[in-house]
Amino acid sequence: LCLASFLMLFKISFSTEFSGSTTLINSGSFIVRNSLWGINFLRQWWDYSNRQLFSDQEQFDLLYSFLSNQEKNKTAAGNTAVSLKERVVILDASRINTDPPAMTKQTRSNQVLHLMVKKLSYLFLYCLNSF
Amino acid sequence: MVTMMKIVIFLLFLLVGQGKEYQPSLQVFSQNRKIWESFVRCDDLSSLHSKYDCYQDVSLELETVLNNYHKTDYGPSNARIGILSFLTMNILDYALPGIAVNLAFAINNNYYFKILDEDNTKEYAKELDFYDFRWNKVKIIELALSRQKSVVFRDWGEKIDYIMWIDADFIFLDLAMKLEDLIHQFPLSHFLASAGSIVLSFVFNVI
Repeated sequence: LCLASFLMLFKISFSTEFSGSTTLINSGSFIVRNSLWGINFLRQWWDYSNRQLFSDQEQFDLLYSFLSNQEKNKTAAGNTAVSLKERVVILDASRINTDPPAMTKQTRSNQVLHLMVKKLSYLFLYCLNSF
Repeated sequence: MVTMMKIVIFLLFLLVGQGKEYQPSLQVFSQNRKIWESFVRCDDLSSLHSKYDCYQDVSLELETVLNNYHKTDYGPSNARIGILSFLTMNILDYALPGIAVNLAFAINNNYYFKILDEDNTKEYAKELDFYDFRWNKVKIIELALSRQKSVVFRDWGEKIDYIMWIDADFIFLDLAMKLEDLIHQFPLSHFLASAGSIVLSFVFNVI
């Protein structure tokens, strides 16, 4: 089990290292207004695509992209309501979350700490402690 | 493990105490004095589960106080904010210090605070997605804001203006941080989140 977790950790390290991709938001913390728009946005986020294929953050990206394109079409047709960027605010990475890894990027001015514990790494540490 | 938890809590309070912005309001402390006393008593309990249950009781006590507080002092400057999180009992050992600090943050700022788990969300078992627990935050907030009264959320849909979701491994370091300040910066916003970041190689840190 320990050997397997060790190998899986390496596999994960390679996959993340070469992908270099990121999602729009870190959903470890977020604020939602109690409004019809806010609740509808959550419903769309939940239902938009396939929860078994995409993580919550990936599906957020898909929905955001869809709504953004929808807005462009509406703007082209002359409809100028409140923009998506004003309704969905994406803050600096460390404003209400942690810019990972906290071990190297956390500063004294940061007001919050999100540890972002990885299950596999936790298992690996557990294995190390057991020897 | 208990000693480690105490060290973590001590270090966190030390870190907060040295922050330049941390100026606890004596007025707020005296208003919630009974809750602070209940909160501190939780630390005397020996087992993890009894402490967790104690913090749940304190959060209910806080809710009652805030219901009365907002009846008289509610206005645009003091939005009714609820902090919500979810944990599974297998991570209670490392999540509990964070729960204690986050509850202290909620008491200090007059925010509602609720920790959900597999037990108190049973009424939503059919609606949640147990294929991937990370997804459930989206549904849980939608359910919390729905106007239907429930055992766990009571009447949050009617009395809460904003909900902040936090993962179980999330900790507020600055107990004086005002979420209202952030919300008022973006008056047209309905959803606020921090940007995602490129994940660096985690394994080298572990090794």
